[in-house]
Amino acid sequence: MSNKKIVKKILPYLMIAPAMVTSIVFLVYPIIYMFYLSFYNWNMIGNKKFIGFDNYVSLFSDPEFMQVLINTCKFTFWTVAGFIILGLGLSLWLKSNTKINRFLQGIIFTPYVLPMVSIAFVWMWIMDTDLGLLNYVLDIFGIDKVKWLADPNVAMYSLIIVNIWKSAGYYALIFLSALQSIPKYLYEAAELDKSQPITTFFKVTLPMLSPTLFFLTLTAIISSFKVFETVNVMTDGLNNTTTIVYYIYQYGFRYYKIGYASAVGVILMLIVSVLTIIYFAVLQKKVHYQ
Amino acid sequence: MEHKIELKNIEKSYDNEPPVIKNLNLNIEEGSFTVLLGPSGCGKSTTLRMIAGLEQETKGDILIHGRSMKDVKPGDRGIAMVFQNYALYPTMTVKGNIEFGLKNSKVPKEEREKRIQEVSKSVGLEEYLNRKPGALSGGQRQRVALARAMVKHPEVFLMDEPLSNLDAKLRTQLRSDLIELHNKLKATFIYVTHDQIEAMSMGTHIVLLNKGKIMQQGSPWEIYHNPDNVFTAQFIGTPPMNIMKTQEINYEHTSFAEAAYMGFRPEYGVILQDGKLPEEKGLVMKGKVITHEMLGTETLYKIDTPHGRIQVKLFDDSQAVDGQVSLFVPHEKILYFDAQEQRLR
Repeated sequence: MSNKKIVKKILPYLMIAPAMVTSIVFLVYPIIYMFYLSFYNWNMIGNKKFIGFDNYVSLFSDPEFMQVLINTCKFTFWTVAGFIILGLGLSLWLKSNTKINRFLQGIIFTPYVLPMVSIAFVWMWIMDTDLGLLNYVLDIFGIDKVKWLADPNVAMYSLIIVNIWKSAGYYALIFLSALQSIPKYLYEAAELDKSQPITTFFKVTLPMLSPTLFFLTLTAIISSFKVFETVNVMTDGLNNTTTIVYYIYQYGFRYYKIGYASAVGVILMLIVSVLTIIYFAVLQKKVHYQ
Repeated sequence: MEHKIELKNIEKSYDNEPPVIKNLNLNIEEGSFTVLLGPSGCGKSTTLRMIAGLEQETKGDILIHGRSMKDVKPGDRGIAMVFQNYALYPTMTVKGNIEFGLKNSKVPKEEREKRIQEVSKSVGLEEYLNRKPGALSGGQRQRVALARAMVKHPEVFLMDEPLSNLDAKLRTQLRSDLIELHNKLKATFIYVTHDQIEAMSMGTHIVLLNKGKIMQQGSPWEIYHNPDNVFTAQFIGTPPMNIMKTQEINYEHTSFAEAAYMGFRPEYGVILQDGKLPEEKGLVMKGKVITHEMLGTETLYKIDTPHGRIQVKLFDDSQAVDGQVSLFVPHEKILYFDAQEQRLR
């Protein structure tokens, strides 16, 4: 083989090498290492001790882990529902391209730009049982104080509200651009077809939005499953608010049970993968692509 | 005959800008195939959309069957519309598209099925009922759009350049299909186009618009042979009528002293072979042949004369002529227009 030919063969690999190296070092290797660690008992200092599936066995026999799974599912369900319903509602409301609407679009998007930690702190103040704004407003209407972050029956929903508040504007904005890309003549045709607004929404608008809806739901589910900052800042996982990632953090970096935390990480990855596969398999058939 | 649709003193303007349509009065006869014809931006589509109720008139009133259409929704006007880009619902099947209007009008299922069968058969869509519009060709989509309009049994069909997205061959075919359809349904058709050939071939009544005003209306024959003004004379006909300034021509037989322009249709010009003048009265010009295009049944000549470039169509042209020629136009084929470009009769 001549030198030229060798260069021609190697050059493409050289070109993609930086990207390949980065993804192997930061993506593939950590995943493999996580699998590896999940079979060991290790506290980050001493020697690793191989224990087989023991981490998984104790994981599934731990009632706390089951509760964590339930918490995460609950968080995901309500957050995703909130994102989609509120996002879609806001986008329908702000659809017409007027000055005030463009201004409002900016307003509803603002929370998304702010760091989650700052938002969490602000909301901690708003939701404070004694000094918070929310209870102050409730008090005006003569309603009893709610322990927004301290009541195990309420705390999770408070976190859900904060998360929805932060990101609904982002979802609204994406829905909005999808709505505005639906050709106007379809609505005119629907009008001539005597379609009532509600029928037009379900028969014309929603099907046209289905690719966007599909994409947003999927990404919302995945991001909700990985929630961490809100829990960490606002409740420290107390009052029934521990979610999977927070649980991993607790076991890894508070109790230094790296093997156990890795096993939970593996489970989280499996859950997200399975959800993604199911979602693609079931829902993609119903999505309309042009 | 009863007027099906009346437009009374219609004015339309957008956002405080000068009106695009000003004081438009138009009567459309029951059962006619009326074509709104004009260059782009002349307000023909806007007029159609106002009749449909998709656009609100700024002033004036639209009556259908003598009833004012103010506050009547598009779906309740007894009309169906075919859009230029078909406006099919891409997420519904062909059947769903055709059925949607009927469902909204609460037509019972049996009746719906019957009508869909009928209409899909008549436009040749039976095999495609379960397909989505995305899987159809342009011509088939156009048929779906037509079927969607026909299935509602409307009294008035509104068509907004429905053939302009199709290729030439298909357009010719659908043109005759539409004429047939009009004859069969006996409904009123209002058809918008910028293509004068479509207008001439399909319309029973042509309304020629320019800058929001009606330039002339009448039968295709009338519009072609008896134009009211220079605009009509030049818009209708391919190639358009030859128009020359009268003062540049010393024509001793001029019928009107006040004429500013004179014109004749290209097919009435005669190239004089061997320079012999005919005996009849007429205009003679000298010129130089610039091009000749053989178009099959006719040959189109472009001839430069001292009065501008003249186009002449010759039908009996076994030998192409080149170089300097004499051009003859029979006297009775010359039309005259005044300084305001209005016809002198």
